[in-house]
Amino acid sequence: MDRALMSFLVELATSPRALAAFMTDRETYLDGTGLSDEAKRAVMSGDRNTIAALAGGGRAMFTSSRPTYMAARPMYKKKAAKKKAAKKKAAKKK
Amino acid sequence: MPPGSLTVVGTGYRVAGHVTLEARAHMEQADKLLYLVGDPVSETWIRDLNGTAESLEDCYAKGKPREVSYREMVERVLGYVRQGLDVTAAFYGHPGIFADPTHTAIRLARKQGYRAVLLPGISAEDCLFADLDLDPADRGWQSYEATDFLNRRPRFDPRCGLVLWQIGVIGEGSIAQTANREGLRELVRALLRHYSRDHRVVVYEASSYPVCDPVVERLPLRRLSEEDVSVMATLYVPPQRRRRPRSRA
Repeated sequence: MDRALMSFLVELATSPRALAAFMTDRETYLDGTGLSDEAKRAVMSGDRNTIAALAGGGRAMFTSSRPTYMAARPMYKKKAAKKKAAKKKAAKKK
Repeated sequence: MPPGSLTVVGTGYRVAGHVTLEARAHMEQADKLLYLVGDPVSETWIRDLNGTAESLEDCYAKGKPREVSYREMVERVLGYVRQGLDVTAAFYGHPGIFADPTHTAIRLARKQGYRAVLLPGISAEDCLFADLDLDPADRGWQSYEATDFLNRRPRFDPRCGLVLWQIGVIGEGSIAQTANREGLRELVRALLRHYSRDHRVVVYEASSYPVCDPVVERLPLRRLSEEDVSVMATLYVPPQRRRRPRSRA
């Protein structure tokens, strides 16, 4: 985990003044942070996954949902399969 | 009332910045802090807040049904409460929205006689309204989980805004790192019954870090299934324009 990067991001998220200073002149602000060159590049990229990867995880894994909705084969698939079968049957009859 | 309590809090989406003062105090002062967050920066920040912090992420595994993971989370949380500890469980986003284990844990804790509270947090939808500069009270809005929307086909009013959550993980029973394109195609087919192919929709994703912009992709509905949609994405379908009343001859 790049702790300097974490502190930097937390500071920007909780201090509007720091965020405004960063937005005004990103490069000058970053020079005063003590971040590694790699971290600076990640910050300048503005890419969430690049930052997350450097911060020590990189897992942008989505996990939260209600299980009742999440049957392995959802109903909408069953409906589509039924429709397809009915169409096939109709085509055969013709 | 037996010793031990449960407080469930939300950490929002923006690292540290979306945590309310109340939630932060509970996280800092808990005898035991459990958490489930989506990014490593938030995780480190939480660990710094309270030395007892323990992740619930290991309850997940690829291919493992979510229901099983959720049961494990609930059991782990309640296990500490039964030890007589004041437990705080922190979940990303709003802890009461699309977060089954939080509601189950609160219900079971209360049933077993413990004090249990769920505090509100900042949800993806809250971020969406802020970032898209929308006041949902304007014409009303409807909000559904995308898979549920496809499964139940609820009656909705296309003249109001429509928010569909979790469009990247339609039909996903376990955990996912890439979007389910087949599910997206099905969603587009369902929406085309109510909206024109050129109806502009917005694929949205809140920003986790203050140095990143939120994802705001505006595109015609017909192109949605071709879009590179993240597993965290939410879809906003703006209201249809009101039709002009026909003038009587």
